[in-house]
Amino acid sequence: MSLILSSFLPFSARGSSHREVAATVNDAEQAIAVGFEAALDAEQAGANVSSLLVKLYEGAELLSVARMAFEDGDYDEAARLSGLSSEVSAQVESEALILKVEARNAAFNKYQLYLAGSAVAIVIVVIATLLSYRFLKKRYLEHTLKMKPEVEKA
Amino acid sequence: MTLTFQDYRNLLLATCLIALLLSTLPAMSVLVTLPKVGERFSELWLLGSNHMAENYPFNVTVGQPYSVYLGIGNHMRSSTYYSVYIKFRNQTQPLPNATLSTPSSLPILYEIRAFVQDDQTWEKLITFSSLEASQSETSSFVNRLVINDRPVWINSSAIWDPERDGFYYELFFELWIYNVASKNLGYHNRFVGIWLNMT
Repeated sequence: MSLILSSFLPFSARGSSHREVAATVNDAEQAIAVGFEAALDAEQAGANVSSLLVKLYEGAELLSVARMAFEDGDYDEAARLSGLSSEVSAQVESEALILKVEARNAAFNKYQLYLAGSAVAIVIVVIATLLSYRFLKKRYLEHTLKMKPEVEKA
Repeated sequence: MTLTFQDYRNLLLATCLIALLLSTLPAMSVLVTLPKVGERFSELWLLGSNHMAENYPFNVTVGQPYSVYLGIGNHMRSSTYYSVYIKFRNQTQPLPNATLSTPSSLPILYEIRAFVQDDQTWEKLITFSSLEASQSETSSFVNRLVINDRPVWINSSAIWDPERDGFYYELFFELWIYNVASKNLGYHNRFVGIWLNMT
């Protein structure tokens, strides 16, 4: 019963301590950092992370307001905003993972395409070289056979 | 000079080798990525209210709002997480130490975070006003500032500067950067500031 009640009551009514809310704000701070690192990973995999950075900025703004509310002693508001900020960061983290996988798949497909292109080009070059060699050899032989021996006059 | 069959064959082989090398370039371009060259750095700047390097607030009146544009340029070769800490000082209080790369020991009045992609810039309008200030003949006190609608207590004082005829304070902005290795924000050894005459 007390557990149910505590989940509905605001922090102040539950007698929530300064320390509890400070921990919530710090958690939100860590979540922003984790979200950023996930976005950075996705970027290194080749993904466009501009939309993720915009969301992270929104999360960071919420965190800044949460910090101000905390400093003003408004613990309920600080806890609420920190929670929202953490949610945004978690969303960024999961989206970054998806973007990272997509970017890796796209890079792999691109590599396969380029590899196939290179293989086809190599086969064409080898065949063209062999044909050219045969043609060259044939022309040279024809040219040699058509040659007449020079007769020097005495 | 006439070319022999061997000459033609060598020419053909050389052409073939060059063509083979060119054929592998697309696949190689995916495998081999050249690192970006050049210095890694960040920019930090302040512009006046008309978005130019002029008309910075200087003579400040109590209750009157003033604004500047704060900008960050990222050239760190990857997206970067920045934090800017706004601080306020009089002429005798410490600035960040550029030699030791340490920030000012003064309290943070306001913080702004920014996430900037490589080779991109970011800008934000900063509005501030002094809410409570008082002065005597030789000293001045600033009790409260409002930065972007957020009131902050500062309780700073300055003595009369006879050389420049005024009570001078500096509003300055420190740039901090998130370090992925140490997993925390550290001072990036860059700051900008504007002098305010609160006479």
